[in-house]
Amino acid sequence: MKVNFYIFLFILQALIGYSQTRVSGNISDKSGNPLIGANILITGTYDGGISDTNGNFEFSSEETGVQTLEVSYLGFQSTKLETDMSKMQNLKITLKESTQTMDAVEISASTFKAGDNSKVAVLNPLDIVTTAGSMGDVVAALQTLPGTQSNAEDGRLFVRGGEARETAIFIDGMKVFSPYTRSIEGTPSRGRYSPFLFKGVSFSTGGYGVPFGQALSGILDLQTIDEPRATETNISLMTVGLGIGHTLKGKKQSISLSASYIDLTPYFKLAPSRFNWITPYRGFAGETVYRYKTSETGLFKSYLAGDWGNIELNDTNLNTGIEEAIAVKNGNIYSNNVYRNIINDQTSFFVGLSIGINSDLIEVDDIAIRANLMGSHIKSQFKTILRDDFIVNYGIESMYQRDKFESLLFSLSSFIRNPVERFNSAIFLDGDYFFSKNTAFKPGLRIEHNTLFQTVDVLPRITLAQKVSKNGQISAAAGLFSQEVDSEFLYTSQGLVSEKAKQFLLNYNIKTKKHILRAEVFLKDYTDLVSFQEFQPNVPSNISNTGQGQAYGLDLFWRGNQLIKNIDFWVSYSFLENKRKYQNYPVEATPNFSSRHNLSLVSKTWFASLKSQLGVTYQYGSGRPFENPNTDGFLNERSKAYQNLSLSWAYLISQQKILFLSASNVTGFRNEFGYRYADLTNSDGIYPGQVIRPSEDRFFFAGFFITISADKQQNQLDNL
Amino acid sequence: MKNIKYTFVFIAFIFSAQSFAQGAYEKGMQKGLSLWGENKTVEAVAMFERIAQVEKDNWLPLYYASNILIIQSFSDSTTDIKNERLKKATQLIEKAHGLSPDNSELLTLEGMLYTGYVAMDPATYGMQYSGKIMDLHARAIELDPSNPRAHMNSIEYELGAAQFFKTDTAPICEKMKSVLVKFDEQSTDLPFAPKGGKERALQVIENCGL
Repeated sequence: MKVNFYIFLFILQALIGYSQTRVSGNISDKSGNPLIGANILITGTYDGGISDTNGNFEFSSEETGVQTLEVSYLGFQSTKLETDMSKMQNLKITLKESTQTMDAVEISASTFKAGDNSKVAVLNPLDIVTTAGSMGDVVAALQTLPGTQSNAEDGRLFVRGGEARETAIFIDGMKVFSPYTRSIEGTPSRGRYSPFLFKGVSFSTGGYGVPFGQALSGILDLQTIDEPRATETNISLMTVGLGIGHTLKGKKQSISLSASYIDLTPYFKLAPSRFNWITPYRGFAGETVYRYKTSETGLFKSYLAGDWGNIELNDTNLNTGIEEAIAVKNGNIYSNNVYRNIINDQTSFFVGLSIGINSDLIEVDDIAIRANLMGSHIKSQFKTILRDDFIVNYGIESMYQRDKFESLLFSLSSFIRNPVERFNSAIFLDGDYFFSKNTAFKPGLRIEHNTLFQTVDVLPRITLAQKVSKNGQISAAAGLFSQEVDSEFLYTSQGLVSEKAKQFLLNYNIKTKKHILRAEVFLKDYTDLVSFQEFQPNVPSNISNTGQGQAYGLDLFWRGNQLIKNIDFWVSYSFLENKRKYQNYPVEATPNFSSRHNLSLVSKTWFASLKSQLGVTYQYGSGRPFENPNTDGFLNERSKAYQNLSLSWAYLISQQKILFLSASNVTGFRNEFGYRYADLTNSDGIYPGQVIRPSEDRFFFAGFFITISADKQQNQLDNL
Repeated sequence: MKNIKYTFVFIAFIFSAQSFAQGAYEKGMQKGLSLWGENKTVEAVAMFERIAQVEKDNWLPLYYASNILIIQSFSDSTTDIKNERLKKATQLIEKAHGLSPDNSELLTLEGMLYTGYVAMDPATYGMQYSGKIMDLHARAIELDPSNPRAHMNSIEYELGAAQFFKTDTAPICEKMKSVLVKFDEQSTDLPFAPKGGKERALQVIENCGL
């Protein structure tokens, strides 16, 4: 009988198992529109269904008691409902749109991105390399974007009326201490690092987030490639030098080694130059990248690069009229190490360490000056997704910098400290809060301490973003930014503080499949700028933080994709009004690095039949101020407008070979960058002056690039 | 004696529950595949997702759900939807990799996923992913040289490049022919293991004019 009882239980269990409950309801969005094809299921079971064209669903289940009903739909936040099976009828379920979708509002005003996030990217990774005139320089390509200007005698990034040093450069979020190659007036500096290292670029001309400090005007963050394509060897044969690289790729780790030798001597033997070269530029660079995937989610990247270069020429000293030999020798080592991983589904983090060592030796005849820099940056940053609509970023960082100046001939008696050593440490926190898919705001706070100034700067920043149409949005940002005064003033001065800038900006952005249009107005208010007097030329005294300035303007950007078949182009225009009273300025004036109007036109045309891409870039910059001591007033003369038309031609010979030709300033505009004057008057009571011109009007480049890989399919198109 | 009875009933109970579950899995997979066959892709993905959240150690439902999503993305009209689908497929594949690391079929599928991204926006993703796609194919073939899908996708990618460079496609088409044999030879003990793709290979060969 007992057995029968168990059999009875067994049957009962089976019967209970098969008793059916009907589950039904309706799924809609917040405004009551039915959602078609939402997936509804009872957690942990096979039971479920999808919603029909009216948003209705119905299915049966054998479950009883309290169960969890789960509803998910692409582009919406999933929802769960825990209740008794008997109550799962005629349910009304409303799903909230996910704020993480492609068409959600984006809070990054003023940032230009190139990379894989097509939501905010205005450039794709190839654009950097294929922009005519950029000669493979990341920084030069960015000078075709609004908010920047092309100061061709300098080459560095000037953002919205700020000095070049006001734009900080980072690799994977870690500081780069000497991002540019050393050059002399009239020959542009270049970004030190190869564009092929990077998968993405994030360039902000204002209103950047609290994780970035020590920058008054802009930040450029370069993201390195996580995983190399394959094991391969790359060879470059160029009119200016040679390069070779090899990548070994394993399952979890990879290592890349590369070396290049650049020598412009042969080029200037053939091409005319205004300069009296001894050595135009000669340099050697080597780099290694090691990447290790510690797990599915963890990645360690280590980058080490070194380069040595020198330039030598003969130039007439305006003060003495005597020709003297000038040599600039530079050595640089940079290491960048980052590790990132996730802690759980909500929290991810990265930790990083960068170290830079730079040495510049400047020799004028037998006078030598050596400036050494040693810097290190350590940072730890976390991102926590508290809710789908609330994400916080927080972290801590510390930057150490040591500057040392050596000279045998100059008296350094006015120096109160040499070397100059200091730590800039900061904590930061910000949050992306989405009121809805269409409205978001991001408040943030950065608190920074400087051991030399013994100051604590509190830097609040906020961004608001509102979608105004399907593809358009308006953003506004305001914030306080700070940066240490230039290190040259730290040797001799006591009691200085950081320079500050308040930034305000308003941005309208529309992005459709064929167009990207951005318009932005900005205002930047500088306070605590370094100000000093010069009783003797080039010897600052009474250095203080009493300088101030203001910059405002308008930036426009329009990009058309395939509006005309196979042609891709963008247009940038910037208007800038920039006034400062700082440094040795007796009155408020527009600095000599600042031009009022800047225009860039960039186009790229693909000719399938020729397997070639033609790049055309035109740049215009209105005349910049320069100070003529022979006239009244200060910085009130203007140089000629700057113009440059560059062409490039990339020809894919095969999948493994590419031929690249480029020419800058093909029409030969005779550009000039103002005048320089002697410190003292001559016998006629006039300060003798000399126009500043580039070393050459046109520059031609030819390169042949080969990839040798085990996999014959490896595509040189990638290197275009 | 009593204990034995208890044990017997208990074992019977467990066995019945297990075979019931087994049956549900098979029924579910069968249902998912037939929904896919009827082109009811949304229903099919939903079905496989339901199976995946029960069968927590099984990579196959995740494989099918993401496979359908990727194929769907090729014919989606807007980039937003394409991107949403591929994002979801990525999550599912990542989960599946966790359950079955170094799985040739999953690596082949991942290659297809990135091909979906390249198809969506060649200018943005072409440079970034083409190397990765080829690498995934190579790894899939290395792990299982008899996997016809890995060979097929790899050859098809090679064919695309050859068409772009206008080089001779005939030898590549010939290679595709040799894959047909691999489709016929495939055998596995795993129920519901992927085995499709031959039609696609035949289609490619036909387009080659062979």
